[in-house]
Amino acid sequence: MNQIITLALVLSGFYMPGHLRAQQQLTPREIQKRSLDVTKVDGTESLNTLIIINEKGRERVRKVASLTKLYDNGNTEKKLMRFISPADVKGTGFLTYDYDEEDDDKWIYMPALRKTRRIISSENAKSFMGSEFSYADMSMPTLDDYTYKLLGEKTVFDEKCYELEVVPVNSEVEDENGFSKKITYVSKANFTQRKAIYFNLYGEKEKVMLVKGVIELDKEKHKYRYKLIEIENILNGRKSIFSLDEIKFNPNISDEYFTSRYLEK
Amino acid sequence: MIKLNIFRFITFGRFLIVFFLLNVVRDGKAQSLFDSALSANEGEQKYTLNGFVRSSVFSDFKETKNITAETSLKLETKEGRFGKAYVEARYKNYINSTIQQEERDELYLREVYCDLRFNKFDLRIGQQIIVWGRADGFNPTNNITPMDMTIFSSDEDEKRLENFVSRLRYNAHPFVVEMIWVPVYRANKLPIEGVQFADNAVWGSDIFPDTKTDLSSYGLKADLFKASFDASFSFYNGYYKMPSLGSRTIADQKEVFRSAFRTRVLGADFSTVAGKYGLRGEFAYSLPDDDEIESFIPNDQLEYTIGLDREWGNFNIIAQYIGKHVIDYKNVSGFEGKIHGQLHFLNSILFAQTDEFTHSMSLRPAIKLKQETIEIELLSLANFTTEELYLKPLIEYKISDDISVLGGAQLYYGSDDSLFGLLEKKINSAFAEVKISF
Repeated sequence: MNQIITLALVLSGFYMPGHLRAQQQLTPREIQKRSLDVTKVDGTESLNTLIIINEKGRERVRKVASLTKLYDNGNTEKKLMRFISPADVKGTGFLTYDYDEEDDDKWIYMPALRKTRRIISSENAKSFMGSEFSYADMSMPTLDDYTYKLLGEKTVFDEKCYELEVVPVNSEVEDENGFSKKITYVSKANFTQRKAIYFNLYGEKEKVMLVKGVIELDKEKHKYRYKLIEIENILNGRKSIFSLDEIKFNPNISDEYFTSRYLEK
Repeated sequence: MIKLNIFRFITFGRFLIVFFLLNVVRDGKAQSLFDSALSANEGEQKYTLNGFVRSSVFSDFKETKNITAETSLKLETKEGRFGKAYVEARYKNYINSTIQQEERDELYLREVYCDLRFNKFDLRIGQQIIVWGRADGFNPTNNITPMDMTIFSSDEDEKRLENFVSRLRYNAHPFVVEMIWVPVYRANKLPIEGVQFADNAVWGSDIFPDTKTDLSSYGLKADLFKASFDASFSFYNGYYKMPSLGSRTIADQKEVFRSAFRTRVLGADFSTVAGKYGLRGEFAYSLPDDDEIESFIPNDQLEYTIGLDREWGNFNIIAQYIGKHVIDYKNVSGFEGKIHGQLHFLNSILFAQTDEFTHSMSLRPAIKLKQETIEIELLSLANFTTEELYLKPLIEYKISDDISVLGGAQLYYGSDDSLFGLLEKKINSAFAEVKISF
């Protein structure tokens, strides 16, 4: 008898499995939060390639080694990035303490400076190493800095996605992060971001970011990393690609790595 | 003809020692993916070889002051179990120079050192450049390795001279304790080599300390790296890198000589971020020993630098106030013999002790354009007390990752009785440079 009632409810559209119902009830802010949470991996080691392409199609290639580790119940992610090549950036390193709810702490080591230098963390709009990625793209955004609106659903790379409008709460956040609005496409299946469209401070459509590959690194907690991200500036025709050449899930990375000693190593 | 810079090349023996150690430090295997990127894995090359070729022309549009062609070879072992080693050899060809007349070709080792790591200890031994201080470019606590104030270069780092130093660091995050031992004295290079002395005095031999251990210099620094705040306290007890000028009479001939004197420097610095501003400060109190030599010894002094930096997208600006207080300052005049008066004057401008208080300001706006292929900056320093000014506009265009073209100028302005006035006559020039890295 129960089976008959269940079948009747499904056919009439009143019944859905538990997790799907939970997704249906998510607010736009919750979707964004889950989209951030699914990329919080306990610890990773990776080798990456950053390709910077100018408007004439000329490429510059940077190889980067990175480490990440979560602290404070996942509210802080520490990151160490070290440029391996080419010669003019070799040895340059970034150490970031990326906080969920406050400005990050950041340091840079450049061989020409011969010392570690603390850098301002609030200015996230600037280009990351000359690429079309900004520092904002390289760190976790503060959830309360934006308002969220669900525009609908769209399919991106054959995956059904939430279409979210993300708007900075004030002009200060706009200036700091370099965009006035962002439309993001978040996978309904696993909450990974698959696409983002950035509008500049004049309201013009400026950049389109595509996530062309996703890896589930922590299969137990369902945590992901983006395998290949491509960002194109449609106003000036420049493009940048950040790819994971190799990545390893490692929650036991020594804390010593996230210090000035390893930044300068 | 190649001229070997004896001081710089005396390190060749040390180079051999370090090269021997290369095989020691590179032994070992990578421990993680991150480490593997810095280390040599099975079947991979154990060393990396980088460097550059650079050609520069400096001219004041009346006279070509300096034309050089330079090659740098940087050999670095991959990180091993116990550390790594690094060698940078330079070959510099002076095609034309108003200062380096006798240094037609120069072959030297800019840096050559071994990094050894044992648990929490890092030991770096060899010819190296040490930079202390969290202020930007004007660091009163930076007293370990000397400076060349006469150099023609687009790169401020080229003003830093290397010396043989042993540096031991103990890492106990958030603290780092650094101990420095400098067994060999090396002086700043001064812009006074061509100065005509009174009383027909000529340059005599220097009075510099030999390599006895009790004549070494030592430094100790304790750094604190907190998430929101960095700071350090430092102490230096050793020979001051700026030598003093003295005079003597030998067989009725007056001679001017450079002599080193010991000093103790207590230092402190910090850096933090306050909202959208980076905030830095650096302080040093110097107490020179005045019982060693008869020539000029500067007074005790307190130096302080406070700076702010701010970014707007790819534009950033660094502004700093740089001050100095000379303790027990006396405006002394009326020396016996012209040469004494002249040397007192030269010493006081070299040690920047012409006034009881000096107030300076540095500004460095910089912008990166076109995917950071174009960098434009203007480094400036104005001393309001002595009315001196330094300007260094620079534009760099990276044609590719390997090839850069630079243009700019190094401009000093000051009265004849000022340090920048001396530099103005010698090295003011515009420059053009091509650099190919590999």
